[in-house]
Amino acid sequence: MKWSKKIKAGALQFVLFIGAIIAVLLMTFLLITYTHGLLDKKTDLTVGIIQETDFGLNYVFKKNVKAGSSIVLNSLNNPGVSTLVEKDFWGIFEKYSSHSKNNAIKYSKIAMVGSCFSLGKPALVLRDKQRPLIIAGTTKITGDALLPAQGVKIGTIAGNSYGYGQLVYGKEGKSGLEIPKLDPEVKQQIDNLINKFQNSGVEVTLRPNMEITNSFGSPTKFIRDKTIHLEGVHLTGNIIVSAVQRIVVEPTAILTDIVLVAPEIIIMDGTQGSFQAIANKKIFIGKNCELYYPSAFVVRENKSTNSDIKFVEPKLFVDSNSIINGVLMYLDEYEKPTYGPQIKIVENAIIKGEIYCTENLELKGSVFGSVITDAFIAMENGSIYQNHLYNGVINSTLLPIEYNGIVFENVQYKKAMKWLY
Amino acid sequence: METLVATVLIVIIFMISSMLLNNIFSNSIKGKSHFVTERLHQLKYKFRNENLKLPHYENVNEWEFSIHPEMKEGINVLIFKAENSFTQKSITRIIVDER
Repeated sequence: MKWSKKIKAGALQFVLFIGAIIAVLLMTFLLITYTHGLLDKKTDLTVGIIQETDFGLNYVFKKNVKAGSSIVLNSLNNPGVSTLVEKDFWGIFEKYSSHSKNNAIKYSKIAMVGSCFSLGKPALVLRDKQRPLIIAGTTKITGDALLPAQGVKIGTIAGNSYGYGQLVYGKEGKSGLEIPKLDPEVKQQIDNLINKFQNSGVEVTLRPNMEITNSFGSPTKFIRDKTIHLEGVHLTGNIIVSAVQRIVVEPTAILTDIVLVAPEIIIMDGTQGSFQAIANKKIFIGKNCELYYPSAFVVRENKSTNSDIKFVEPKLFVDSNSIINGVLMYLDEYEKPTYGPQIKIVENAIIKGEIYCTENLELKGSVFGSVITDAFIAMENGSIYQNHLYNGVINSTLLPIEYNGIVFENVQYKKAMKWLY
Repeated sequence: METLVATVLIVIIFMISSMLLNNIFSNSIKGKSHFVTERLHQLKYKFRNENLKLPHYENVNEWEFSIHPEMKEGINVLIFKAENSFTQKSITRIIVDER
């Protein structure tokens, strides 16, 4: 044949050819295993770094770190990896950010953190003021209750006596002369938010139908004005809205994870969202609102604003058919007793979470969670009933164990309530 | 003569290449401790979710797994350790005791 004559391939030439092919094949195999190994190591390291951020968070939850400070951890599991954990506040909850990195790979996690009670929360903590708690109507307390020494008694309001067989469906204990205290840093944070509007930061002017999203990794954006009407806007993330007079939230506004600060905050009927509101005069929550976890509504009065009004209107009011998942808080330093409710929750309103009140609470709705209050009050037919709980339902067994909330003094267990972005 | 040399050469080439391949693959398989790290992960999960009792010991093949609590810088930590009883190679993972 033509071909065989043309190539006078000796066997040696053929061997060389085969050898070359084998060499190439070997090289490819080497390359494959090498890259495989490299990627393997990289994924292992990435997983390690992600776990390191978790380790950093858990470590800081156990160590009491001051707000605004940070700690650096050198990894025990992965040499060369360091983790920086910072503590700060977002509204009334703690915010931790954990950044792990080695030379090439970085990973961060930011979490909103509350205190958790793995053994369940008490349904009720009522300060011991040397007078019993009097229950009437369809009141029902389910869960453990810490009560004054005089205990619970049955009373009658407007001809309605107590309707159930047992007074407290759970264990009864004795409460102290003081209700549990908030973590001083939380108080400090609330004061800071109310008093110091003039923080430096990026300021945004609000326009109708505006959409702002701000990551918790970047500096906080501020929206400031005299009065602010949130209508048709879409605000998400690291944004603080503060007004000198009042903020009104309309149901057309979509608010997620933001913080509102103003003397007066009004949430109109039918609003939905999850945000924190901090006021020093009053907060009004309308009908049919649905506020998702973790929301918080805090009224913090100082002595000067709470002058000598004998009969006060509610400072924190929740209207009917509203569902609030989170925290309601009223704080003051007023020493004289007042004869009106500071927090008022009307019929058919549901609070899934915690209520913390340093004055009087009028509860006619339901609380699935925990109530900590100085006193109860009931206003019926023009009369004031002190330390009466009328038609209110408190049930701590319905609160999921995963719920994390207010950080009290000397709290040991903290957990992430929401991962931030 | 030429064919003889060629045969010898090709036999040598095949020998070397097969040895090399063998070496590469056996190394990459031996070096893997995936099963150990995986088991450590499983133990962590079990500890968090299934109330594993401490201290915990177990043996899988030549690996000895142990979990024991310890105090480090004032914080309760758990040390998950896997140790190879022949090569003395060990892998540890440390987590914060959340309980």
